[in-house]
Amino acid sequence: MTISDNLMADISTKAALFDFNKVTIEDVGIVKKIQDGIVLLTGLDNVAYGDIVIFESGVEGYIIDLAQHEAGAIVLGDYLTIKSGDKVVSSGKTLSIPVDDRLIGRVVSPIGSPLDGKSRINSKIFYPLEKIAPGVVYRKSVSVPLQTGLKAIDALIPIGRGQRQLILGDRGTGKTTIAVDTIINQKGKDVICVYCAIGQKNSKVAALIELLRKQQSMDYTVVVSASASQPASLQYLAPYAATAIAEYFMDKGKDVLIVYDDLTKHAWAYREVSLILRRPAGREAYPGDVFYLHSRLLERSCRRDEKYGGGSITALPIIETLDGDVSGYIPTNIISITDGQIFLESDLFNSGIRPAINVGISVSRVGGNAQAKAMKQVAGRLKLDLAQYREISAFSQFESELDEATKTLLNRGSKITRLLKQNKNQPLSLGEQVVVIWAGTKGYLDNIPADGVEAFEGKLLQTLRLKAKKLVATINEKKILTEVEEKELEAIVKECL
Amino acid sequence: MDRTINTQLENYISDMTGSSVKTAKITAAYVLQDAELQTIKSALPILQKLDLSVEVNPGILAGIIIQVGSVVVDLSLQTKLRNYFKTLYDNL
Repeated sequence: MTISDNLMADISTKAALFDFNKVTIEDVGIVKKIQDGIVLLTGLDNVAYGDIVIFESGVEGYIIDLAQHEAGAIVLGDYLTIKSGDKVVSSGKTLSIPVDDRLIGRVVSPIGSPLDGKSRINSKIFYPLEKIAPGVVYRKSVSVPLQTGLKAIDALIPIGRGQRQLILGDRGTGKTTIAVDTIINQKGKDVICVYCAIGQKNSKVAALIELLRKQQSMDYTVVVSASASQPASLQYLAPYAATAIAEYFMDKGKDVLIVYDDLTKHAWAYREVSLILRRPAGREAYPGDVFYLHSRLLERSCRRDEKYGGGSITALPIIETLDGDVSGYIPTNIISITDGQIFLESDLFNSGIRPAINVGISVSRVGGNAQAKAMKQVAGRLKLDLAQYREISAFSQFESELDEATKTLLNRGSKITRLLKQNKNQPLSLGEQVVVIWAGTKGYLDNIPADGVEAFEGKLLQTLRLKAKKLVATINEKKILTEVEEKELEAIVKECL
Repeated sequence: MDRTINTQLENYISDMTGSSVKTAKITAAYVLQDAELQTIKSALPILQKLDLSVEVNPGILAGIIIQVGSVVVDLSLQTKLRNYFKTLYDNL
């Protein structure tokens, strides 16, 4: 069939569906004034806060201000097509996004329109963008781990399914990389991932989608994007839309991972919208409810009790700090909302420690509850060694004048720090991580030179993948390290030295 | 008096007197005869209680548009054609 035949068939089906005799009763208004993306409307006597109104050109608006004789709406799209005097119709619906299983693998905007050039998501199911978070009774405590594939995180600052863990750092310290590596590591783990890009460069989002495609991660990922060139209203709504999609999958009992990249730009977009609406400005010109902006978003990520449907949403919000200032307004807000944070420092990044995680001040308030037993066995020792190393690392310059015990600690600590380094986009399975850390904490690295650690790790992983697949699989499955396995590991590690 | 000032005054007075909607507006493509108006009124009993203002707008091509306050029942041909156009071109 030719293109024009397809086109004619498409148009004929649509024409057949159109009902000429349908009568609709609409609530109508007129555009009075347009000001920087906010439209003031008269009429619309029955409209409520949060309703969607449709302009003549088809663009939608979101009612955000109700005064005595007029309503203010933010335009969810191009406001240059709207003229004063245009007719506006209330759709009767509150702001919602069409959700469907077919969203997986797609890139959508916060109002559901496709951004990847494929067909529109036609769904009868709509999930509201604004929703009250599940109450206390509906929740269950976090106990199932979410493996990020990064040794430093899974061992020392473990994340559980249903937890909110903040990733905090200056620009260019690897925040998005951690989030993307976590998404890549969810392959085959029955976790749906939602990546929400807020105010990002289009090129960055495109590169990210290409990376996810190459790693076959788009088979379980949805991307919601409101890039920097989109109106502030869409950037403001993007994380709520992504959460609505996550809730759809959670309602099916699935575990969902959602990444908000990043909430700093989200706060900026909301500030822009609020200032245009002439709402009173507070600290740093942010509106008074900027805390509520993020708290109502992040509270929707939780682990739900099986009685009420099960499922969980794990949130990884990202915040960009300026010059390492974690006591800024927005960072402190989100630190108080989330269940822990991962601090990334430029100093560590520049000195070659990547992921540039400052293990000393990063914390996971769920911690060991969400760690596999095998990992707990090796991580306890790791934490201790690193903590002692941090205490005395200032003296590492005086190495020749220190006693043996201190020298051993310094040696062990520096070897382990190097061991925790990892290349980007190369997540490790639980078994591999356990083996590598086990080798470090048992002291097998103490006698090799400092720059030999990376080579040793590479050799160890290669040996595991070639000769000890079964052993790794057993650890992955049983999630525990018994003496039998330890003996086998000893042999393998000695081989690699 | 300028038309905008007129409508604004009407709004102001109706607000001050605390009255709810009292007028309905019917837009037709040509001047409606009494019999036709009666048919419309009997179809929608609420119109009998309100003051009717009838407007002529040939631009709607055919049919009528009834507006009470901000609620509109749009039975005009122009709108039907516009919606048809939108449905055909939706997502093409």
